[in-house]
Amino acid sequence: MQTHPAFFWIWATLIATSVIRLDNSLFSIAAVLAVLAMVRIAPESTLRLNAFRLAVRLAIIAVFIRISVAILIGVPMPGKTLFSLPQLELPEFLVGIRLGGEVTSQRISGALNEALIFAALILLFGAANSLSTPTKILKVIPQRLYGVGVAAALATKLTPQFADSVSRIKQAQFLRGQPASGFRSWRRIGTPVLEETLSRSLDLASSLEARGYGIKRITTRYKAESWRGVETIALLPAIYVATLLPSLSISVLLVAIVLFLSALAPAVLR
Amino acid sequence: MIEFKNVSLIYPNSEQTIIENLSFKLDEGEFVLVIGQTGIGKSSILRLMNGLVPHHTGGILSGEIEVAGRSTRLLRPGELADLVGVVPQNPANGFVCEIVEDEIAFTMETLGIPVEVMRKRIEEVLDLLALAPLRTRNIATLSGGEQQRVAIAAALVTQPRVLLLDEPTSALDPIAAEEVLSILHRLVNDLGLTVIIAEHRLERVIQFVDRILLIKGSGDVQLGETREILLSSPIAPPLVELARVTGFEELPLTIREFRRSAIDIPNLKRSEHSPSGETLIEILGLNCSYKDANSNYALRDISLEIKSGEIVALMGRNGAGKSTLLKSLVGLAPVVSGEVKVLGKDPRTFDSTELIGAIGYVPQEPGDLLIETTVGDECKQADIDNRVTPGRTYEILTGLVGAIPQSIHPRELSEGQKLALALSVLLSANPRAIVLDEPTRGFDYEAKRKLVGMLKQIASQDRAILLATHDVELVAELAERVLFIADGELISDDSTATSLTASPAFAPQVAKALPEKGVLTVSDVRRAIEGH
Repeated sequence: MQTHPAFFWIWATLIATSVIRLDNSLFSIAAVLAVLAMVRIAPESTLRLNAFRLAVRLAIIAVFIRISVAILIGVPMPGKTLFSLPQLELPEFLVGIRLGGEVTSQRISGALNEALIFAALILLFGAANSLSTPTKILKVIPQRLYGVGVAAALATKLTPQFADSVSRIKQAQFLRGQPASGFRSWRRIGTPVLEETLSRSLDLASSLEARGYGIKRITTRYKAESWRGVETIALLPAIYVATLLPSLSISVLLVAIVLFLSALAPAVLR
Repeated sequence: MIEFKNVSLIYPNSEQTIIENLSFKLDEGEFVLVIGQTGIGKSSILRLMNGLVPHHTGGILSGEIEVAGRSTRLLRPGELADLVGVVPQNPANGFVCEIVEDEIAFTMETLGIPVEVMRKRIEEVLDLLALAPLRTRNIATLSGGEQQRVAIAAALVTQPRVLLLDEPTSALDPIAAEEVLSILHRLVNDLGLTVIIAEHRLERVIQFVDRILLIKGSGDVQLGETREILLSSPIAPPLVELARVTGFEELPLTIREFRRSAIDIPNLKRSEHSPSGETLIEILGLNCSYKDANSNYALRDISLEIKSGEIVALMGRNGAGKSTLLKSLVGLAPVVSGEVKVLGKDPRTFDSTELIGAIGYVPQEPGDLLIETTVGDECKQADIDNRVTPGRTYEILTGLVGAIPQSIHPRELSEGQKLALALSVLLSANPRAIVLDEPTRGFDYEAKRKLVGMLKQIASQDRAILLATHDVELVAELAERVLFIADGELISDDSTATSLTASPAFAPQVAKALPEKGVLTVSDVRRAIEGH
């Protein structure tokens, strides 16, 4: 038996809600760890590792951008001054915004908290995406929502392929004697990758169309996806954290981490 | 079964009509081959038959198309899914599921076929296409031929009356192609299925088909018996060309028919192939690993040498290690032990200038190398990248394929022109060796002829060429030496004449038709007859 594909999406949505609602760095870190554990123990056949790697990379970029913005731009914040940068003179109408200047501990910690939230959200949905396959999504979404179904199938199928295209085209640029990393290479890699992704989506959409997707109201299932009790039970802690848990003390946090790990139960009890 | 009545098709924002006033009729249970030059609208005609054109692609259609009495103009493609099965040009892009049996079940699920019926039909189709051992495998891990069979199974399982296939063998090695085509042949005979197939490599299909639809121009088509069409068709497989040269009473479609005509020619004396150039590529005891540790080596104990002026073909089945060997030449293969030397140096130590000056590597998708939106810009960018005088790259391109307008988008080029553009971009850096990975996918005979000329010209400029390919006819025309690789090992390294006649699966049609005469191609036969 496999874990129901909707489980990952519901779990990710619940934890994402909690991460935003609780706005706590430790909790965000716990969420990230739980996601990594979930991906780690997923059987190889159901995991699309390339898609998850892409999410990890995106998360790292998000953290990097948020921190660098916090260092360069921002309003003055109290706290201990860590170091200071030369400050740029700005015209008067930009009151309250400054470039450079003193970087305080509070400014950094605030930014770090936000960055962790970004990273947790990206990883949560990245993991849900790489753990569920396009068909399974198609079957969970009613056929009458034709556009939504096609879009979901395209997104879930094309993210891992997108990662493959990027590495293939990077290689082609290397063969042309061009640097395959750094800012300048992005234009060289971006255009062909986007073109290829576009033509692949058209191919997949036409295949769905030719195979009668969205025509009949009544569809059948070859292998029914089953939602078992263990999945419901595994979601309970996540539901509790997302809705009821008022605020976090360290002990509650520990409980939360343990409960998070319960999300691994459906995979382990497979 | 399928009837086109005065069909015209034009895409918006385009002045060129794709199809003009086309009328023809195909009968039930026929195996029909659609031929024509690249870009002449073969795919469009196929896709008109299940309504993907114009419902999915856009375009303005006039006239009427009926499939089993249903109009594709009025119905959406999905409403024809029970009647018409489609195997797209690149099946990997059309797969929706990850597991073989799920993929086969998908269309039946969308059509709402009851589960009991579904199970029975899946078992049947798995047996029919010999897919039963693969049923729980992940599709991405299958070989090209296996994927093609999965795509055919997925199309057949709804029990359609028409099956459309767009170039089903273009990515397959000769053995896998043979397998797929004989399955189709059996389906036509056993199930009375109407099969319409578009294919460039006629030598692989003509023996199976009943009729040919030859597209000469947008409104100019000829539909007739295979022999009747091939008698005068400008597009013909080597066997037919051979019969035209040697004379014939009835046009042969199979090797057997040709041999029975008992045509004899004098033996061709081949000059010994003895390369004299300097050694450009040297491989000694090369072992390469797969990325995961528990499988076998991808390459085992490979040693070889390639000199300038040589054109060498690398052949073998899908997954034998051809690509890994090519990649080792640019330092991208996971080398475990052994030596690779290009111009006397390990390619892994090359900097980017040394790399492009040593090897021009055309990947499987030559389009990957191209980044600009017009041919002119692409050439200018290559001039800058390779630090050559402005206009040099375009000059090389013109030398290879004649003038191409600078303002068009590389995507609008034919496959052959696109490859020429990619080659020019690499050649402007003046590399000593050119490496090509499977260059003739989607090429028609004309494009292949041009490629042969192009590569011979490049090799004559004191360069070495190494190409991996499945196309035996191309190898017969082009290469002097063939490397065979099987399961990671180099099993033969010999002259083309010796290598290609050693095994029937990899022998060109002419060699099979006239064995032991030392001929591989139609031009060889001409030379033998003229007595040179």
